[in-house]
Amino acid sequence: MIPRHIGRMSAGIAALILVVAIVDTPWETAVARGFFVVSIGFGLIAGSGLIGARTQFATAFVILTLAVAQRLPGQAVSNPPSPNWTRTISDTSELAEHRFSLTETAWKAALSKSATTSLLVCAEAVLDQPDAMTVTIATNNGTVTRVVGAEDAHGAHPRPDRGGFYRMPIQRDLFDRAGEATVTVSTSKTLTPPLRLCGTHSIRPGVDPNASRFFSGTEWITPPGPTSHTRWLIELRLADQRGRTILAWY
Amino acid sequence: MNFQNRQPLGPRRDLAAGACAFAIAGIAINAVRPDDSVSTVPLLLDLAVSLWATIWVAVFAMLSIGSVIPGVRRMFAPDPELVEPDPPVGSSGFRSGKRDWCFAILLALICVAEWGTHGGERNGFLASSRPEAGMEDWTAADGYATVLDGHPAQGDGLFLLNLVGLFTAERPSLSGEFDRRAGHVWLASLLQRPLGSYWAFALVNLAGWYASAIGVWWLGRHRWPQTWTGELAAVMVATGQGFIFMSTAPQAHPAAFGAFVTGLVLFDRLSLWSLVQTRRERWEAIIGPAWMTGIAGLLYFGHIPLLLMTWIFGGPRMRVQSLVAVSAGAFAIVTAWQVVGENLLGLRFSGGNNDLAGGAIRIWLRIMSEGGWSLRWQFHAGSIRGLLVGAFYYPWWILAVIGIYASPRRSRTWALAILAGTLLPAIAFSPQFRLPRAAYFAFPAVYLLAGASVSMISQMIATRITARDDRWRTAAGLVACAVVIAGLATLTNLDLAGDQTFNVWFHEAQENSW
Repeated sequence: MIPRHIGRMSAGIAALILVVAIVDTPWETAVARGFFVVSIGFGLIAGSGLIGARTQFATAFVILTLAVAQRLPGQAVSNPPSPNWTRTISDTSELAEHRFSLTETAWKAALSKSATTSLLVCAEAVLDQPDAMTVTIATNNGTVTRVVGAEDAHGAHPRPDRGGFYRMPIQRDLFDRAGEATVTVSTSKTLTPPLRLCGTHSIRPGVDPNASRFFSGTEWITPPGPTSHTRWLIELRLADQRGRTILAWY
Repeated sequence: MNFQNRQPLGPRRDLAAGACAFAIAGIAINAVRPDDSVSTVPLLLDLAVSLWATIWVAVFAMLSIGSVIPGVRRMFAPDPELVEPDPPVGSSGFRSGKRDWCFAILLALICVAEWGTHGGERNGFLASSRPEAGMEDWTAADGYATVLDGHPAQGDGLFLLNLVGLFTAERPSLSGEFDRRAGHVWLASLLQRPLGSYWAFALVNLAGWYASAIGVWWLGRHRWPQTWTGELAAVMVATGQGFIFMSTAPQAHPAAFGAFVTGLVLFDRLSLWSLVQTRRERWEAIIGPAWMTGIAGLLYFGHIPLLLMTWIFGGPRMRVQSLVAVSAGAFAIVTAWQVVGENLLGLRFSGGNNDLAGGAIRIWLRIMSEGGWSLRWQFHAGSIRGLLVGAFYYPWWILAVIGIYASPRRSRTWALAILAGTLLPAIAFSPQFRLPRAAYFAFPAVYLLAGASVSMISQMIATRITARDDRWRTAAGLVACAVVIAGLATLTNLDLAGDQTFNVWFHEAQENSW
């Protein structure tokens, strides 16, 4: 008697789940929810009946609770910071800057094991000019400036429609006992089309949220991207003797 | 219905497929003009294993599915289920005893521990995409990542948020890359409001993970009764490479793996394979599996391996009408979502990940049109051995092969059907992408066969090292099992020590290196 009674209650709860899911919601949401409540939700309830009537009742109750929770005010679906944005640098007075903290243990340990160091700058579109951008890196050991262009393209993706890396080898000595490095990128001349520098999100804990900034010719803007937690896609790469990357740093 | 007296003795399908695979692979290696793929012994062996595995899977599947034709069925030895029915489900399932509850709790703790220690930035899917993993040369320092509610997560999560927003009534219906996997997103959306996107997806993964472990435990109890096979395989699932790799990633795979195992349990529980059924039982045995298979298709492409497995295992023993009915029911559910999505919600079910299966077929057709050399080269360029080893590293395959011989024939036949049904789609898809995560659908078979092997070996060791009473032998056997399981779990947890090798292989296969 009890299982049959519980079975009826499970069926009632199943009907209630459907009502809770679709009533007073935009019709598109009602259709989408309704489809999956019937296909997956009802299926789970029916299937759990094979284990026993009480399990079936518990399953129905859990799904009802979740359906109710889905309607309650709670966390909104928020868009994450963009992993892939660009900023056009069209004038020689404009400047992108990223500061690297070099005091963390992970950096020091990897630097001690590294054989080569390089700087990667991501730009969208193929830089067909050999002197597309000027990259400067400065630490307390000195400053290195290099003109970077098409022949420095690195990796798979530098294409007209997609960002790609441009690589600049750096002498390892520049980082010896350095606590910070500052990289600036500017156009070496007025380009057609203008240079589009890539930006992404900044995830690693401990990174200064203001590590990247942009000089528009008149003022510094921080942060440069469309939302917070963003940075220029400018990274230091440390590699071992076999050329394998042992640390990608920003 | 008993076919015992109607069928003559004949070769076994698995052995016949093996012999065919040897012959065809031998011809492909020797009769096609030499190239780089046979230039060194390791490359030659890689090619040979890739060819053999592919041909075995294909021929075994064809012979099994072809057995729906009585003439083909009579060519082979009768399957054991036809001679001796399966044990009733109740005789070998869970007994709700204290030990079972303790083991279920232990499994939950292992799953939660693995899930927790491989989450966030340590997630294998994410970690293996970072430049340090050596796999990608285009990703930034954080890898292919997005940020969900402040937590680093695998980058595809970004493309699921519109669907989540549709289910939580925050966004209009917008077509995306994962329209076909909307069932997975609906599950996550049930948890979105109280927990946020990151934890919602992560908990759905954990649920799929635990359901897989419990399901494999049940299958082991049912199909390898009176052994520790189920328990051992369940722990292998709880510490399994595929689940650790996914952990908290906003991906449909763990839920689909859970649905796949639940399907296998349901098939046995409803006696889908049984030939002795009343009319009502037969309908239940068709509607239940059809529904479950359709659900697997709403989460990911889980309906394909489930249906293939059903036809391969069911071909020699089920009515063809039943097989067609299960398949039609499953496709009806999957298609119903597409019809509703396209016509009422404006989803396109095209572009990005929606089109990859069709792309793979087109590539195979092009390769085959180019002749034997091109076809053979594909098995070198897209090493199937590398694909399979990426999904399960050598120790699991070695144990599984031993397990084939350690298992009773009815269990072995069932496990081989799962192997063929799950590996066939992964191999078919390989010219487009080599995805060990697709081949990982074979985990119930691989882990249960490996569990049978470990169970047998531990019993042998226990018998040899102690002549004392049964309790001592049991204890010695348990220690032996624990040592093997701990060794295997160490391998899958190497990433916690900073070694991403297994995650990288699981991400994009092992290529031609051994």
